[in-house]
Amino acid sequence: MRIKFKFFYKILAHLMLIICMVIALFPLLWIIRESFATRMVALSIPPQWIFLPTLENYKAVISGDFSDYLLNSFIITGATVCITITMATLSGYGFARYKFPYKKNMFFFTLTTRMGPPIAFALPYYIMYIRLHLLDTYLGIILIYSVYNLAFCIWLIRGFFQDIPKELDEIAMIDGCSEIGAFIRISLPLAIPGIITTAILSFIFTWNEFFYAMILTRRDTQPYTVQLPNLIGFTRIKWEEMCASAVLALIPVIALALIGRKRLVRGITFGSIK
Amino acid sequence: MKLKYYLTMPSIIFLLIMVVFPLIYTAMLTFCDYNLTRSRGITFVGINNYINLFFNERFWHAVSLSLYYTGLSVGISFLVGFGVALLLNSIISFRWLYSTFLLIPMVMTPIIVGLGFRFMYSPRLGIISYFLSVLGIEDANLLGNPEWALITIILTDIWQWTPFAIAVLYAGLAYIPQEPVEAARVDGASSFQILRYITVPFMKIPIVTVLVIRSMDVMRSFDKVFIMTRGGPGLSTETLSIYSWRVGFAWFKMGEASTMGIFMLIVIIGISSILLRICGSKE
Repeated sequence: MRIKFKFFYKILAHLMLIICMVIALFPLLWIIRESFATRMVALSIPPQWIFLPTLENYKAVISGDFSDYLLNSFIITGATVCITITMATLSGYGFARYKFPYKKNMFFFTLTTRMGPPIAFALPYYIMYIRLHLLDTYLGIILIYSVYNLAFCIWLIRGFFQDIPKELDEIAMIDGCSEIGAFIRISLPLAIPGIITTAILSFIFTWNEFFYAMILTRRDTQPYTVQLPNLIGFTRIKWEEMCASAVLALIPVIALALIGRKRLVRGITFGSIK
Repeated sequence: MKLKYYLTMPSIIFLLIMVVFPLIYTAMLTFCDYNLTRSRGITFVGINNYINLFFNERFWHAVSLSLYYTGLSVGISFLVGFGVALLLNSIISFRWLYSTFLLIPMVMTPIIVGLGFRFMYSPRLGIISYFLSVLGIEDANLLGNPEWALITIILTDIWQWTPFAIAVLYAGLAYIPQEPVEAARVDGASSFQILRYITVPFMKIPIVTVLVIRSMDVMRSFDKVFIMTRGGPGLSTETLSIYSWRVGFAWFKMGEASTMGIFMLIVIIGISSILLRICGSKE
């Protein structure tokens, strides 16, 4: 009796999880479907489930200027991740290994920069950038994204360094390693997986960001997030092309999320859960 | 010992200049009248901005929508996420498959989610409208109807962020020690009693983390509402972040917009200090 009940429970649990998975994946699959459909198929209601896929949308998107915006996104995100991770690795190690006053306040500060209302930061930056002629420059947008990511990355990387026993550094120093040598030869290699996770997260955050980009960039440096809604023209909406563009833009984040999924949770909770 | 400062000073100075200085500037703007479209420049107006905001009905309307949005989105995504996390924890086979693919919505660009759903909700052409018509609801214009627009956006938000709750709570469940659960089962406790008296108390930190991080994220979220309705139809989806954007970057009333920014900052700091108190007690 009990065994039978357990068996039914298992079937039911799997069934419910499959339903959840279908709901979670349906919109993505639908976007992918539309990206391979001709206009006729894309807008047919009731939907035509079986059709001959076409690459026309992708050809149109790649030959159009959307690839320029994707490139902008890559430049901005790449530079931001490099700057942030370099600075965060150094300070993360510093904060993990040495004593500092106000350590608790740092968590608070982290949350404020990452979770503060964008409008409170966007206003002063906008006014400042007009004066400094930094509107619509790579430097300007990379700068604000680095600020947006830095405190949070330091906090995370600090946690990853804390997981490495301090004694390892001390043993290396007894054996004649310098302070900085212990950092580079012992702690840093062990922290690499954590640093990569942090880099993946800051890549995803920056790649997906919209608000600051909308306000602080114009024609020359716009990332794809700002450009995508512009595909909704006044006369007609090119859904199929928009879906093809969206698929191209989603490839990097989904790939990275799948690579880093094991440690992702720790990152998205600011390390409050290990 | 000098290394300590070489390592940390660059970041600290960078953050102080780039975070603290702009925030002080914003706080100062709250006492000024500054319209970028006029050449008059900045004039000091005392606490007028605060008084105006207090008597501004549209502002309180936006606040109430934001609270409604936050409460509903966080509440439902937490409950559904907890349920799915418990389900995931109770099975053994295919765990990795579910837990991997259930995470996908969370990393999708909010702009793409907004556009994609806007397409799927669109009357006559959208797949969701089609499903609704199969269920007998004809000509559903979800985003164009003031009564349904906000709830539609909230549902989309729940769709995207429930995976966050699943991920965090599922990770938390893995750390519950098995001995008390076994002992309670031997003593004849029901599944519900185990959940109520063992699982939930052990899950305090993950639960608080989900609730607080999600609340702060929803309070500040902008992209999805902006892309799906821009606050319309009428004012039916004009949340605080949309309204403050409109005041600041469509009307260029910098003083009033900063006042709202500072207001939101105080609310968010209030929430995060609760998180600090509860999670910080662990260290």
